[in-house]
Amino acid sequence: METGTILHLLSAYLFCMGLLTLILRRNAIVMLMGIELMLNAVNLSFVTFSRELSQLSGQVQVFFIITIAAAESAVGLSILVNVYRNFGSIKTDKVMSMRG
Amino acid sequence: MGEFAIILLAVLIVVLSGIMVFAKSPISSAFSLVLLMLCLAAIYAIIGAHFVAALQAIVYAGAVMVLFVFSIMLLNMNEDKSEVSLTSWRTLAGFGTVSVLFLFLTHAFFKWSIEPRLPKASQWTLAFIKEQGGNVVTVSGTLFSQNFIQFEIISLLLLVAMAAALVLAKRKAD
Repeated sequence: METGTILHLLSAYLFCMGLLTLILRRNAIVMLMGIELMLNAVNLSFVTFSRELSQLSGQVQVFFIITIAAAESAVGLSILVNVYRNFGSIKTDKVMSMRG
Repeated sequence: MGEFAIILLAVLIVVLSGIMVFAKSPISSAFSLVLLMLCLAAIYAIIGAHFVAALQAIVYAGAVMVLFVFSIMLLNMNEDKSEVSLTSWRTLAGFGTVSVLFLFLTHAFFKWSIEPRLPKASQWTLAFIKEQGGNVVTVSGTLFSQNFIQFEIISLLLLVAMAAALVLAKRKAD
């Protein structure tokens, strides 16, 4: 099997595992980690395509994605700290004041 | 040699992502995610994307995951054990959705590798990048010439996110 094919399969697998984390787990921090895993899968796909097509724009986009992921996790984690202060838990089945 | 190392790292990544999804405590999820990101950085370094490899190791495995581990310790979730039961409807629905998505994605990738839609003839081959002075030089050259405006906007966004995180996490004076 070619290296590119292996990396494409790995990226699809990682994206699916991130989505599985989002669906299965109730802990909000672990759900954020699932989002990070999905972003990593997309990064891997970008780099692999950039290598196969001999272009550099894919790697430049990865730079932007990493920056946005860092900003997203900083804001998301500080929101979670506030949720923990207000509700005493960050499990998504205990924090349900909007569900009624 | 390179291909063998990539297969080894891919197997390691598959195992680590399984640990991350099904681990009992959030802290072991976080540490397996750190190892996974370091393995991804190694893969990037092997296939020649040195700039992205350095970013992955420094920003993801360094900064972002330290933030995660730190907030797990801050929130002190001792009672938070895992709740993944393999027989509930939610788990079945999750596995079903994810396997269908995986099938679609692999179908798309295989179709692309059989007949690529984009032209393959482009100048940035590995040999040409080496001739120009390496991956870091060429990627940062592209970053600061073609994508200069996006770079500035992204730096502004980081500043805004930093201020937002500071305001959100500050304890209210009451």
